[in-house]
Amino acid sequence: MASLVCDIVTPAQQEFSAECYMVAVPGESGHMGFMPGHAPLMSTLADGEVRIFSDANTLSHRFACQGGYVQVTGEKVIVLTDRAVPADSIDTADVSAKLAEVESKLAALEEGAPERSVLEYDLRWYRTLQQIASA
Amino acid sequence: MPNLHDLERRINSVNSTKQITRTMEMVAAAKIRKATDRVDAATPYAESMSEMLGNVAESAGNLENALLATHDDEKNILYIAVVSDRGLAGGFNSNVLRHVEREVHAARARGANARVVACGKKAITYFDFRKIELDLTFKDQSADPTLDEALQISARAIEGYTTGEYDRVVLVYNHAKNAAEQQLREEVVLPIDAEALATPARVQDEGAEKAVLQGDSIFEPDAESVLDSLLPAYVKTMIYHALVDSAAAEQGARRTAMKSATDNANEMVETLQRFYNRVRQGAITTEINEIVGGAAALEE
Repeated sequence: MASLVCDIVTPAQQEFSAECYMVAVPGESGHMGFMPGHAPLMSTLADGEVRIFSDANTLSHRFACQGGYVQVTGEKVIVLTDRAVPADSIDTADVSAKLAEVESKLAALEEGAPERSVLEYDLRWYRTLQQIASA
Repeated sequence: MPNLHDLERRINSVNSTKQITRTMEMVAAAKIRKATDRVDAATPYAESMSEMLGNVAESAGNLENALLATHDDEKNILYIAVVSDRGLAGGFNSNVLRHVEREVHAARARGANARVVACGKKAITYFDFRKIELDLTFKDQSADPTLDEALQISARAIEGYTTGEYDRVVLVYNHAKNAAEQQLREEVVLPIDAEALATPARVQDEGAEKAVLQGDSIFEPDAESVLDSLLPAYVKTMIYHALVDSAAAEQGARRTAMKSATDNANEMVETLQRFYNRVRQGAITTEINEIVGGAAALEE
């Protein structure tokens, strides 16, 4: 059976690399799935979950990813993302605490402060994590 | 002739300096490993990023983007100087700082304005003292550069470039060629040279058939949007890579500098010790001579 190599890379490190059957990613204009032999494609990604299937019925890995890009050639899928965390390792209590912290910090800042963009970025990330963990 | 006590004190002081430099050498040697691991970990992303950008640049053909367009008149230049928070690393900091200072002066001589983003305490004090205008400053993170830092710098550079506040953004840092050698690098961040990116990909295309296949790439939502979001990310990656690379180079430079300091201290202790022995022997000889002389005087 033909297989697909999937790499998930963040600026800090290579998060994941393995052979798989299918990869599903949250594209900016909707979810997409790739199987071996897919036409070359390049897309921007939304925040969400990258799912990796080791065969047709087994969802072997789930990653929470923030933004980024995906590049597909016939035999390889490269996911470049700002942050990636395996969905199983998300600590819901920790995420909720961080979310509350970021929210309170944001509330304390006035509109248009330069720190806001970084905090809002974090906020989006923690919300994504929470959503994926609860799914 | 200096007295023995002074010499002894000097030997002790050189010895204790040597202890410090030797410890710093060992600490730096241990940190090199971690720093180069981080560079290696960051490399796949940077490589895939340039490859992707090269692909888009090639497939999308006629590219129009504010970050790719060169400004006709170079009136305002932004230099990003990446150095360390701490000294005692040989020429590590001063190479970058002096280079940037020279460039700033050259730009001013041409009638252009130049400002600097200072990463590292050493850069802040250096440019402050020389009254060179700073745009952004970062301190206390040269050893562990964060993505946030790179994000802030790139956001500032991109904003400045698109609004026309800057006409060129240049990055200056030390590249860790290997554990012992550093290399001063100057890279133009903005405008992005799309042709340079597209070329390596083209070289790989040996057959014309493959080139046609590559051109058939699908873009979601479309090539322009992908490019629009890819370019800023590319700038960020470039800066992050420079920060990480510089952190590795810093440890390398510090180790080399501390190694030669330790060697010099060793040599100095040796010379001083020899001198000390000579002085002590001289004192003993004088004393014996005096005793012999005294005894001879009594006999007469």
